[in-house]
Amino acid sequence: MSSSTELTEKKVFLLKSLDGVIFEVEESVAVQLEVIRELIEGDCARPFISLYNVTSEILALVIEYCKHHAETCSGGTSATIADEDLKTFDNEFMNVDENILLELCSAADYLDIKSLFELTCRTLASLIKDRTIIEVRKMFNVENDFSVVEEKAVRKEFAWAFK
Amino acid sequence: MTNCRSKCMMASEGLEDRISNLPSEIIDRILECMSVRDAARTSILSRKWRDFWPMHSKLIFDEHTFRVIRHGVLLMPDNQIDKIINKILLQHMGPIVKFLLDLSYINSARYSDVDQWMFFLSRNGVQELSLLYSKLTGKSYRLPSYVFTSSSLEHLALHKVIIKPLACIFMGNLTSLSFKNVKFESSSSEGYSSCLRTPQLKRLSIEICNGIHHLEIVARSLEVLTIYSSAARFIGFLNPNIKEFNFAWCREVPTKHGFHLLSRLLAKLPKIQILRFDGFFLKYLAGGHTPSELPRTAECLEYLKLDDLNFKDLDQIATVISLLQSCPNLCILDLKVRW
Repeated sequence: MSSSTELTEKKVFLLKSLDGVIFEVEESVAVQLEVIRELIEGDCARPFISLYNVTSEILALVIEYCKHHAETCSGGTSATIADEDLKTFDNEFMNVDENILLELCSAADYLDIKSLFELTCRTLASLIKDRTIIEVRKMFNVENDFSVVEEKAVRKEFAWAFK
Repeated sequence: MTNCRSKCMMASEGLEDRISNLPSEIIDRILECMSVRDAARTSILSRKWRDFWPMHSKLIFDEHTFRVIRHGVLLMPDNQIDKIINKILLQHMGPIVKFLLDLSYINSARYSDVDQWMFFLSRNGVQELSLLYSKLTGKSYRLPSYVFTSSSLEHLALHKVIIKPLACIFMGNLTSLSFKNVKFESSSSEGYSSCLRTPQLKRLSIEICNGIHHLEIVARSLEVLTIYSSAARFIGFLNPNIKEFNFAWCREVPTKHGFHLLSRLLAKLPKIQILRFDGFFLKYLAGGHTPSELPRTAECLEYLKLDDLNFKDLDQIATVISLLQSCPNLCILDLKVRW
C-alpha cells in the first residue's frame, strides 16, 4: 500500500473520447469521475481508458470542469472563498448552448460526476420553468404531437397546474 | 475535432429533440429541480412528456410549491392544497420514492386526507418521507402507526407530530431518522415503552421532543447522534462506531450522578471525530465533581464546538479543560461564550 501512495503523486491517465481524441489528466482530476475512481479503488484502473459515450468536445469541457474543481478544493484557500469561486465558475460554465448543456448532463450521468450532474439538471430545470410551453418546445426542438382535442384534455387533466 | 464541432452545430440548428430522449432517471432529476406545478406543466409538451410527470417519483410540497405568486395571484390557494395533492396522488403511476410535505400548509380539518396519503405512500415503496412544519403555531398531526411498518423507508423526518408507537417496530432499511418537536405517547395503558429496532440506522436526531422515553430506539450502527433540548437517555445510544455527537440541554439541568461523566462518555466513543456540546451539558458532565484523573484520550477528535459557555461556572470550565487535555489531534475549536 505504501508504495502505491508514493506513485499516486504524479500518476496520469489517458482518456480517449468517442471520436478518438486522447486527453491526459492527472489523478486528482480523474478521480472526480466516479467511474474512474471506482476503477482506481478496485485496483482495476489502467492508465488508458476509453470513454465510448463522450465526444471530444464534451470531454474537453468535462475535464475543464473537473480540473477547476480539483484545483479549487485543494488550493488551500478557506472553504467560503473556495465556495464562492466555484459558484462563479459554475455560473459561467453553464453559459452554453442548450444542446451542449444536454450533452454535458448526459456525460455527467455516464461518467458519474455528481456535482456536474446536479448543476446541469438544475440549469435545465430553470431553462424550462422560466419559459412558456411554446418557448420550451422551440428551444429543445420538442414536436407537439398532440391533436387539438388531446391537448385540451391534458390541460383539463392537470388544470391546477395551468391556472 | 472538426467533425464533432460540425455535428454539434447541426444539432443547434434545430433538428433533433434530444431532451425527450434522455434516460428517464435524468428527466426525473430535472423535474425534481422544479416545483410540482412547473413539473406538471411539462406534461403538455408532447405525448412522451405526458407520461413523465405522472411517473415522477419524487414529490415535494413545501413553501416553494405553495407560495408561488404570478400576476399578484397565489397559484395554489390554501383551500385548494389538499385537493391538488389528492389529484396528484390519484394520477400518479409507479412508485413514489420521496415525499416531502410541509404540514403547516394543510388545514388541520383535512388531516384525515394526510392519513390516506400516508397509507398510500407506505404501500408504494416510499424510501424518503419528510413531514415538516415550518410555522410556529398550529395543530399537531397525529401520525398513523402504519407509517412505521413501511419496510422500504430509508429516511424519515418528522416535525411536530404526535406519535403513539406500536409496541415493537422493526425498520430494517432505515438509515436516517429525525424527530423535531415530536410528542411521544405511551402505546400501553401501563406506560411500558415501545421498542424501535433499526440495525442500519446511521444518523439519529432528536430535537425538542416530549416523552421520548416512551420509545426505546435500538441503533447499533449509529454514526451521528444529535440530541437538543430533549430528555433522551443518550448513554444508551452511544456505541463505538459513533463519529459525531451533538448534545445540548439548552437549560439548567439538575445533576444527580455525583461523578465526572466525561471519562465514561469518551470511553464509549473511541472513534469520535466531531463533538458539539452546550455549557449546560458540560456542567451536567461535571456532575458537581472536579475530575481526579485525566479522562481517556480521544485520539480521533478533530472538531470541538462549545456553545453557550459560561466562564463564571467552574464546573463548565473544569470539563472544558479536561476535554482539551484529552484531544491531542484537535484541529478546530469553536467557542461561543455567554456573558
